[in-house]
Amino acid sequence: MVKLTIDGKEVVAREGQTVLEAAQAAGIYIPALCYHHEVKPYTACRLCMVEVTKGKRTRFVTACDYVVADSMVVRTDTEKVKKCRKLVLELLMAQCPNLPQLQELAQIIGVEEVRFSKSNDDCILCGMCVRTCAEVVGLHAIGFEGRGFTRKVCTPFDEPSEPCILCGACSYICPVDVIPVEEVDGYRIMERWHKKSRLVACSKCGKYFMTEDEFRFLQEKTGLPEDRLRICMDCR
Amino acid sequence: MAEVATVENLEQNVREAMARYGNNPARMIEILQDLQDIYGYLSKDLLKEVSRQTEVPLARVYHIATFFKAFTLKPRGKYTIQVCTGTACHVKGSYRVLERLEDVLGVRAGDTTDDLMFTLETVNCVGACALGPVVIINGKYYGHVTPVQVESLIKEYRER
Amino acid sequence: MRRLESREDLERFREEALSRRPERFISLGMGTASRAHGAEAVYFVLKEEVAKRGLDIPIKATGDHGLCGYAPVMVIYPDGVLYHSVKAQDVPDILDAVEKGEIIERLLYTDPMTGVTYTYEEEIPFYKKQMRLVLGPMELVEPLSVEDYLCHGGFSALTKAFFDMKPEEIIQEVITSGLRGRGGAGFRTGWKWEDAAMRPSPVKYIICNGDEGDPGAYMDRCLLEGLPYGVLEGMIIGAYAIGAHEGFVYVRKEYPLATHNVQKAIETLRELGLLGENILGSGFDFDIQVVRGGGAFVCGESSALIASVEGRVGEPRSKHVHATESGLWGRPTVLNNVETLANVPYIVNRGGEWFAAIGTEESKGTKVFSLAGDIYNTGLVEVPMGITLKEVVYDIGGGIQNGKAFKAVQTGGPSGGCLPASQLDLPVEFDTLDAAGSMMGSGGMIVMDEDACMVDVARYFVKFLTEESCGKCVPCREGLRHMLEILDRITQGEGTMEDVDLLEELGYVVANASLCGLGKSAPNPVLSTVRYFREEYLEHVKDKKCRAGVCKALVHYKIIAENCTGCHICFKECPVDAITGEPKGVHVIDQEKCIKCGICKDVCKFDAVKVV
Repeated sequence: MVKLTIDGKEVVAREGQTVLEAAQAAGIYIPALCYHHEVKPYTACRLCMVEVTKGKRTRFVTACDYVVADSMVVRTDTEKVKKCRKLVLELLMAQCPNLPQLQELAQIIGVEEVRFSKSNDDCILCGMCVRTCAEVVGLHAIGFEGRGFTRKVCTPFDEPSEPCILCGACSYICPVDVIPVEEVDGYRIMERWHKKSRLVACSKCGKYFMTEDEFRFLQEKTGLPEDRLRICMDCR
Repeated sequence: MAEVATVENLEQNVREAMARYGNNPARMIEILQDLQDIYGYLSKDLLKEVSRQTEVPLARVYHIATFFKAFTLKPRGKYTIQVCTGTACHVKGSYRVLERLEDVLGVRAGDTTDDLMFTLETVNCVGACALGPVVIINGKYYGHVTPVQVESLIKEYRER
Repeated sequence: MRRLESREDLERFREEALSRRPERFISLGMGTASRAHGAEAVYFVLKEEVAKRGLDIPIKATGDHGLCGYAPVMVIYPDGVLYHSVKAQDVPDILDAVEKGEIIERLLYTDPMTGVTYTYEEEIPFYKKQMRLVLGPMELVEPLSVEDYLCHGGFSALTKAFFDMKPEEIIQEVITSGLRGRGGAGFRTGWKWEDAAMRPSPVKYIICNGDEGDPGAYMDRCLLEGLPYGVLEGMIIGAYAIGAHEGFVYVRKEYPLATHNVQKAIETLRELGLLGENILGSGFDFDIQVVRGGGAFVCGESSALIASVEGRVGEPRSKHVHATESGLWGRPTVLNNVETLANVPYIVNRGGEWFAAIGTEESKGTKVFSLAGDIYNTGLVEVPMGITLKEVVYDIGGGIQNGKAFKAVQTGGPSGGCLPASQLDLPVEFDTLDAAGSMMGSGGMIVMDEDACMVDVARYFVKFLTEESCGKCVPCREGLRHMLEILDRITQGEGTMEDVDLLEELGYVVANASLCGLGKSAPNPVLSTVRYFREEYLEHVKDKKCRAGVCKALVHYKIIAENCTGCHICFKECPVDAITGEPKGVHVIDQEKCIKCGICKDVCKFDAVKVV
């Protein structure tokens, strides 16, 4: 067990836990857009930056990957934290002006106006989808292209990605909900990845429950017999 | 002159490039550099073949190919004109030389002329600061280039 | 090639090399800058002519001599007569003079400020104030000749380290020396080594960072081109000290000659047994691979460089854990800059105390700078730390060209800042330059005269960084984009006072919240110019004026009737036919048509075209 203070409050955390996890467990709010416990910390959105004092030294660090230590003092409410947090969100709002999730966040951390010229993106480039696809699903169906502000998330060559099984994990994890999954006429469609796959119906209840691509993927991965795989989770 | 890609030579050239680096996919950047030297650019088929043979996911190969300045995914011109935009060259007016080249060639930096004669690009400091502004055409260095010289320089290459 | 099995073998080899060493020889600088100036032609003619005359004068094609603005530079030893701007047709005269023991006046260096002509290299003020330690052997050795390198004490530090010292003693010497990383951040090399050495991991790496991406810096290129063995010797010693058996030299792909020379040097060392298994019978194994970078400034940042060596995109990551603990493939890794490593053999040979006696309290040793811009003597210089900027700019650089006024000196490249005349008395030291809002950086030093617009310079660097940002973290990716947009507005005369404040606010956040060193230092060129040249920003914003005449939107070209002789050349050269006028008559520029390319001003021999 590790004892630290966050904003003056004594907090007990597990060894190896990050400051963000410790804060969340203690009910202290730290905004974060590129963090999810299922994937490795990425430290890209910079919204979770806090001031951490260990001994004599104070550092300005990302809470999502900074590991707690005994008698560490964390401040999430200093002028520096607020100033950076606000401007970073303002920058994101200029990049993606129409995301309700960002507007909500703006209310919480107090961003009143956007003073920068606005682009028309909808993706905040947090890489959550890319990392989930790679780290959790293990498929690398999507990735980044380019660098700097022309960077984007896409499938290679912006063409239907071969490895993509339309599992929808990317859609589920997207913090700003811009990877829609549609199911129409027996197909699952993910417009963003230019991909469409026929749905498989449960051999018992007849409900669609996965795509053919997913079916093949699972078959290969688990080696389970086909008739068993054709039964949905509810009917198993 | 760049080799024209066929299914066979792609397969073979990728295999050879990989072998040169001990079949180590960690040497991806150099493997791609060598292949670009052969074909002049990195085509879709080529990147797919690299991904297939190295077993590095295509999405990652694609990011590498679009991230580094050394790579181009479009066919290049016969002559590559590089304008050094290092600080010393900038202070000496390389941006003016670049603008003139863009005017004369009718393309922006990073693009290739329709007749596939010239690819114009900027390069970050080639370390010949004393010569600024520096223009490099297919490896040949031209120092102290002024906007006035641009037209005749291009003409000289066009007529070769 | 022979294989050296022991220290004695190496010393025997050295003896032989020394016995063959010529008294009289001609050294010709043949680095990239010299080649661009036509040094190759000079070299071939020289070789041919020497053979034709049957002369016994070896020609050494060396790295650049430093005086790059006057390349090709040739020095005739043993006397040290220096000829500059040598052309192939000068060769017969030069050889005549060498044979007769005469001097060719017209090829000697004349100080552009004082008009004094100098015969010998060592007398030239450009060299006099320098302390060429690392660069010392540069003009005396052929880059790939092991014999030459041995004649100048090469590999004596390596054998001393291997056979007379324990790894911890080497590290202690480096700590005592106070050597700080020459790549930019100035971290203490000894501490880095010590940290990596104490890690229990059986696999460790050492990487030589030659990804010199700073636009306006070429120290590392010259060292890799001209003294590859010096860099490699430092690297082998480093590897021995920390216990690494594998090393990488990461070189920019824009440096083909440097890559070639390092590659060849490594192959030679392998053949000699100075790399590979059981080096000189010491029992220590170490080998080095060259890795060519893909052209990304951010790869100079250690975690991005490591990612790139691992075959991934050059994206930095959090550095709460240092590379010395977990670096390349998760193993303890030491990253040292090229120049840092080139210093190591001197420290091992002469001791940390000796090294620490050079320089200042917190910055020890010398620093190599690539001096460029609006000065007379552009080139590669090496000075003791603590020398003032003024001495570098005026005494070594020869002052500002064409009688113009000094405006600023830029150090540290895109991570550094611009310092005005009032700061010229600052000593060249890591911490002093930081405090002044600039930084030592890797060693680019660009001098600007009154014709440079400081807002444009800031914009230039921000544009560079915007293009080089990897795009991973928000402040750097989006913050720089908007800083550039604001600077664009200001240089186009559309800026407001709020824009200047917003620039400072953005600068604060980008500097504090960015993920890696690129972002953290990116606002420096803007913040330093706002700090020292605020009045120029205000002029652009309030008066819509660019005093340097650089910002196109704020200037126009005009022909002064009294000066115009009607030579008609501007008429002929104007690419958009914006100039009217008959030969021998006064010419006029049509402001509607003019694209402000400046060609008319370039071609006018009568100073009749003015920027107003």
